[in-house]
Amino acid sequence: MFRHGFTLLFLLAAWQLGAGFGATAYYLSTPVQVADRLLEWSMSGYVWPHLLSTIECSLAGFGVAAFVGTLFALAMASSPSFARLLEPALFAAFSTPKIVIAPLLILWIGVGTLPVIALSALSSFFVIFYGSYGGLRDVSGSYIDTAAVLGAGYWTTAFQFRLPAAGPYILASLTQGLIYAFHGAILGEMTASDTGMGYLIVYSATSMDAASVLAALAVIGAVTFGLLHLLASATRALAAPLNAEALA
Amino acid sequence: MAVALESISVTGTSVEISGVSRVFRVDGREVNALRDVSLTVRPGEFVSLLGPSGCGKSTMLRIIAGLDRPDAGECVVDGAIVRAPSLSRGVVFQDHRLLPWLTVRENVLLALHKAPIGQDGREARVLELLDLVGLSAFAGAKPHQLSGGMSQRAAIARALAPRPRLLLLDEPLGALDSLTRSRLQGELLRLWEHEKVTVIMVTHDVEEAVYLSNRVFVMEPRPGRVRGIFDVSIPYPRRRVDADFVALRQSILDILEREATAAELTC
Ligand SMILES: Nc1ncnc2c1ncn2[C@@H]1O[C@H](COP(=O)(O)OP(=O)(O)O)[C@@H](O)[C@H]1O
Ligand SMILES: [Mg+2]
Repeated sequence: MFRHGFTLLFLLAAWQLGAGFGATAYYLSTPVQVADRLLEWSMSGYVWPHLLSTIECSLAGFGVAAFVGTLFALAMASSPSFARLLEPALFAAFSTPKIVIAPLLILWIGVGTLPVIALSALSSFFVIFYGSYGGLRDVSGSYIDTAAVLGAGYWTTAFQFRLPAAGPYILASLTQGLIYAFHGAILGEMTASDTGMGYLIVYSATSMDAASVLAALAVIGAVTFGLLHLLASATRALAAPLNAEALA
Repeated sequence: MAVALESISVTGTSVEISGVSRVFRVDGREVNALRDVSLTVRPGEFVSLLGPSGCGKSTMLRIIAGLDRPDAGECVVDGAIVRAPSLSRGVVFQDHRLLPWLTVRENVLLALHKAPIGQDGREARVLELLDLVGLSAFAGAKPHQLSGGMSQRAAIARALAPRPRLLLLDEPLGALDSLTRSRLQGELLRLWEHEKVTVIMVTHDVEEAVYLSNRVFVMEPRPGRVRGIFDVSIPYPRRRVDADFVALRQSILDILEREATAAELTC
């Protein structure tokens, strides 16, 4: 931790000193200016509504993606014929860059939080779906046999055996999914909204305000970092009973 | 009294296996896991399928359970051809296969999810079963907190929960140390008498087979088939040092020994 802090300080110092040469300060700004902007934003309260909006949209998008993604994955893992039916369509959708869908979303549902949530959910869905699907599909046959001899039907097998057995995979995919939801929301705000961190970046960039762009990026980076740490500990706590079996 | 009624109504099923064959394709080769196996188990009987690994014991058990289908022949339990698993046939695998995310109590409860006895009835049945296998104090424990022997007790309790009439045991004590193993053998006999079920147990331990079974089916591999059937008419409880116990164990060992030598010569 100490060493990381040192590296960071060194880089910031290099940036501060390096930015003094030529016109680079115009493009790069300086750490002092960025810190100044961050301070100003938090004092005036200017940044909070934007940050809040981004977080709200991310959580909404993530919620939808987590629900639909794991449900689709579970249904497809439980039924190979359903999987064969849906796999080509899903793969085609997966290979389409989500950002090109943004104009379409605006066309369909206009500007505002709705397309932002949609883009967030869309970005997050595939990560969650593919991550969970692999784990759910490859659940050991011994669980499925056990379900069968205990008289479990389709739903019981899916929800009481397959889903918890794939728990660690699903948790890992949800972790990634949350990050994708956050970034998806920012992408959405950059094209289809007038609030949020994404909007702030585009607005600052078009106003030639490098310090604000970088300050916004710093906020986004800090939130992503915080999210990752939060999720890592949540995942550890949730997966502990499952891993205990493997360790025993 | 509920208990008295049950002991009258619950009796073991008969099993008739006729001409069962099962072929697996492994790496382009055909493996005859079972070829033309026929055997009958009488209601309430305790029989063992005994043989070296690879002679199709587990495959046979999976077919009786309904987890696998034979390529030829049929398996009839209580007059009906087996096509799928049923709650009237309980299975215990060598690895306990308890669900690691559930407690012992919840694992047994899960086996009762279809029992038409209400939530209170289910809870009562779970307590009764845990008491029966001596695990009452561990109802709230997770499987990874149990010893091997305790896990197998829990697995047996779970298999007995829906009141099966046939209990299929695939090397249930195979992974246990010898002390725990012989104690659980005694427990199995007690459960068999208490539950009045038919038991088919797979084992590769001759002494275990002779100690527990009414009859022992000795199997041999490549192709998997029944080599000989031994009646064990020694009354329970048996003593492993009695002369007829030792003699029977030896004659079964001799057969297995000859089998192994023959297999080596043909390989
Ligand atoms: N699902 C399977 N796929 C391919 N081969 C199998 C399968 N199950 C069993 N076998 C083969 O069939 C033979 C008998 O296996 P098994 O019934 O497990 O024997 P046992 O329980 O007596 O050790 C072995 O050669 C094994 O490799
Ligand atoms: Mg086996």
